[in-house]
Amino acid sequence: MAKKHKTGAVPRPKGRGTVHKGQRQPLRAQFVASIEAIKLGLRRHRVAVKGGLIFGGGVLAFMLIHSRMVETEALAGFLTFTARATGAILNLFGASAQVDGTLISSPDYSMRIVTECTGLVPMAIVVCAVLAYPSTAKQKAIGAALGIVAIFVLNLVRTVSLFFIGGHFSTSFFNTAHFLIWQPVMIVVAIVLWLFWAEKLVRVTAH
Amino acid sequence: MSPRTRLILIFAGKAVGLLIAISVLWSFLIAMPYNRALVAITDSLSGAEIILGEDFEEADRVRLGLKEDSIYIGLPPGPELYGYLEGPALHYGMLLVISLIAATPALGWRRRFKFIPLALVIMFALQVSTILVFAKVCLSGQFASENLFVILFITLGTALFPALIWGVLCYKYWWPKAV
Repeated sequence: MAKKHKTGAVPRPKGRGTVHKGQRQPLRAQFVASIEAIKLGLRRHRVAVKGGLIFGGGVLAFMLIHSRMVETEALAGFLTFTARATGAILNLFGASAQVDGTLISSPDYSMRIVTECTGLVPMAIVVCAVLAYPSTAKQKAIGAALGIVAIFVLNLVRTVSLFFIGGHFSTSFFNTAHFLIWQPVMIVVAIVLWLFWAEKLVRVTAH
Repeated sequence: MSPRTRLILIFAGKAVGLLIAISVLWSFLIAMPYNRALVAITDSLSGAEIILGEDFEEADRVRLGLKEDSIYIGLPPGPELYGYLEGPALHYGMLLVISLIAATPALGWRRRFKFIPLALVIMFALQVSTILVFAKVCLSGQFASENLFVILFITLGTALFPALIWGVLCYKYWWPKAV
């Protein structure tokens, strides 16, 4: 007959593994116990570990591609496309902007679109996060596509707003808006897009 | 609207609101002392001469088109400059990590006050490493924007580390397990 324990009390294992008060485990046993604890932790959080590895691998792959893409026609084409789209929106607001390659100029202000102005890093973050989160291939494809389009559109809002700020406010205000507000806001938006995707598409579909 | 959707919207609003508030404080009060701290530490650790734009003579600054808040890499004793990093382009990671941790739902105040300083210290170390790696790459004559390590450190020290630490906190304290 099994021995009764008080409610909530966990029976202590007896035998070789038991460590009594004042008695230290040998180094090897401590090492084995640590390895076992790590294994248990990895098993318990395997979904998160797998997700973390996919995210990390994805980001590293993005950086490798990014470092090889500098001065390539593909990146130059994307920069020019961003500059043209920004110029077109600026002209909708009557800015009389002219676009020459990646340079946008108007009587008020001139601005060059560089790699950091394309929102590639927030796009990479949202795509890697979508790929890392447990979901179906279709959900991932929809999430990645929506994330890229949303970040691209928001980036156009950013470049247009910065062009106006550059033309009408001081350099220090432009720098604050450019680096300290818009750059982190893009990352926050990438995170929020991922959260909405996980909540609205993955979780709701799963239920 | 589901409770979690509401929480996401509150999180987004808080994070952006905090970013705007902190960025104003940062640009007026902290940006230059922080730049000075970065330059002082990296200059003492690196073999290169790392100079803040503000420290150049005004005539030189105007002649060379230097920015006050940029960090320039040179070799002592000559004035030849090998490259530069825009100071605020590194700083935004600090603002991001503060606002992400402060805005995350279901995280108690004690945890916020514990994690924010810890994250800031790690970010500072990452940014110092970024400048050191950047200086080494610049002085070796390579094109820094094509160097994988420069891209890795800049991304990690600005956007990636805040997103990663937020992801861990979110997984541990807020977002229910997906599977």
